[in-house]
Amino acid sequence: MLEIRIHGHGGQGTVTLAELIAYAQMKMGRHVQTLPFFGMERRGAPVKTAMRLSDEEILLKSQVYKPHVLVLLSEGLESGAVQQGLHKQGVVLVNRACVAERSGENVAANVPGCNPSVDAWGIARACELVLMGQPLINVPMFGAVSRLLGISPQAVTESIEYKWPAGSEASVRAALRGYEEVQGLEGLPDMARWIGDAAELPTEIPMEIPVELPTELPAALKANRITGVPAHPVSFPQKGVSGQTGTWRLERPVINKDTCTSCLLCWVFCPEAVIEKETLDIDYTYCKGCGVCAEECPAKAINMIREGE
Amino acid sequence: MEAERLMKAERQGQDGGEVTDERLLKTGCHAAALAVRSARVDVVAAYPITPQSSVVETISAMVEEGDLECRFLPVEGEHSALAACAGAIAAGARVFTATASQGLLYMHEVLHMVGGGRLPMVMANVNRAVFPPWALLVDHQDSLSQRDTGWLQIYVASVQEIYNAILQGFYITQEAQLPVMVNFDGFILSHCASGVMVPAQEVVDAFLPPYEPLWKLDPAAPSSFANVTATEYYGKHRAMLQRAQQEAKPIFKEAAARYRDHTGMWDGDVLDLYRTEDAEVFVISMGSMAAEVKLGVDDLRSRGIKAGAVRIRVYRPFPAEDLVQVLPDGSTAVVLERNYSFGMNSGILAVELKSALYGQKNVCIHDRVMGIGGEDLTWRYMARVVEDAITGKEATPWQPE
Repeated sequence: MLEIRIHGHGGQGTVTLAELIAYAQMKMGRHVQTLPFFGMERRGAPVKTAMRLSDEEILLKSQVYKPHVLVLLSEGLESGAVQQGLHKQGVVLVNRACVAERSGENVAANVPGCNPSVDAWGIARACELVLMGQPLINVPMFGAVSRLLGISPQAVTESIEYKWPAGSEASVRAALRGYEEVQGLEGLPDMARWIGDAAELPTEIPMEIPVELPTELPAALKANRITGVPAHPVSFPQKGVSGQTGTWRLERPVINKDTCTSCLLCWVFCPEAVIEKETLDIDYTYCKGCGVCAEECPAKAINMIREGE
Repeated sequence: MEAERLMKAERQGQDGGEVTDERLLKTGCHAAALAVRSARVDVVAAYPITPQSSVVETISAMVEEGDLECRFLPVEGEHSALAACAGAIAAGARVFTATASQGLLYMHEVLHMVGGGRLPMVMANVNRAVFPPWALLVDHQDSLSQRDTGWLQIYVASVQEIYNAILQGFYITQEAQLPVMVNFDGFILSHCASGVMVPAQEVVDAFLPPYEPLWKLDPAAPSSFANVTATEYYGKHRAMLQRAQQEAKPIFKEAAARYRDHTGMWDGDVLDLYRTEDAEVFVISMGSMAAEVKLGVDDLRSRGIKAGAVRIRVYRPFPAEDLVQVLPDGSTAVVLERNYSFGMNSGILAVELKSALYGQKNVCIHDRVMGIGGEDLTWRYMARVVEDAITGKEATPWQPE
């Protein structure tokens, strides 16, 4: 059984990518399983989708802890958590365009063995595969993953046509470009053998996830004499409680103050409240790059600029 | 004569303190409203439903006439009623509502919110059968169906106990940080007028100090309630709810003792025991039938059957350890109950009793579901059912006397 884990940010289409792979593999007569993990269901937050491919019926229902293949849609993912449990001959496929220009941290570079990559961002843009300002990088990534897994170009096309029966032309083009343009396939392990192997049960599963209780609580909550711990499901807002959400960003909004009419719609719509009302300065430490401000701006005074440019 | 003796039995422990109080002729619904007034409740949000209507109508009139300083919210349904209550509690108010039957079922989602949210409040539920077909009279299907919502549940057996349990409920809910549901039988108690002792307001105030919330929503110090949370937090909150239920039991006992010290009245322990010391046959039931069955126990004893009555007064947390203490090895228990556990060929109470005693005590348990939809339960009938059960006869068909 082969296990794959796809990491990305909410909205990048990790689930769709997994389903495209699963459909193609199912048509090849394999047992397939996709396991999305959405976390807090917050657009832009780190998410993952795991999947399993096997020649036998798949009984496992738990998360994937020892993936053979990691697929990384974007950088800004914490490399430690992403790499966790990677098989010793594991393969890391990355969206090359997004690696490391900003964070200076190349996840794949830390991993020995086969590390293929593809410019999914560039291909999606070139094929005009853009939805609400966001390039659909999962489609070229599907082409690249298919190359790794031995899915034929014909099967890639069929998967896409099944997923989007109406208007799949640009997607097929982008996926086939991903299939062709993926680089660094030297030393690729035999995926079909992994798929045919019996399930390798992980020996170490992180059962105990450390929990940090919020630090600033009113004394009264702690004083509950029954439990001795805060019993009420009450939370107190703290800046940056989800970490530096600015690291989630692939593109950053830039306000053109010459054409801006100060209508403040961006300030109203920003889901992260990172636009300063008086100065219209954006706090890039926490701006997650969702592009809602650019979408809403009636004067078209906000441009989304790719990070690193 | 019997009734008088019964009343005495129910009041054992009463030390007959100084009478500075009022004895009024009141129905159960009015007694509930009087308890709300005595408790100086800040907010009541409610929707009327038979047989509960006169609880909230009376409260509404009290507010209208300036007899109770309280915000009364007449909402468009029970779901909204309890949701409004939840908001008021979160804002720091002492809160009450009342409902029955379908109204309680309609509240189910919000019951979880208030229970899981650890929001202290008291609700009076006037037990009434659930539909279909429509029925207006008592059984316990409505509240027992809400068993796993995190609420503490009390079942009372007299009009005075309605008043006492609601007042004690306000003390218990503050101490346990869990909501309290006080259940009383529709019509049998809700519309039955009897003498109700209402202590002087200063006596109640001494028993029940002004409400001070441990936490409240405050725009000056923003916080959010019941926000989406990660799995590891969620599990901890649910585990704490489970633990809090278990640890609430001493609070019931403490509240009852405190109430007796202040008012001289006793309604309290998790179990109400009658002639159980040397009993071999234990009749176990809840609500008003559990009072009348004491006469059935006398009757059985007069015919040589060593019977005793166990009234389960606090149903959540379930008094498992207390029942293990009371029921000796080799004894027989006959559960008489006004509800079904469909698909279990039993009532809910018998299932729970078996679970509580499993591996602890070897007790032969018979179960008899009765009194459904308000069938009248006389002590003669209940005694006959018990006798038939222990002598291995078929279940006695119910018929009006």
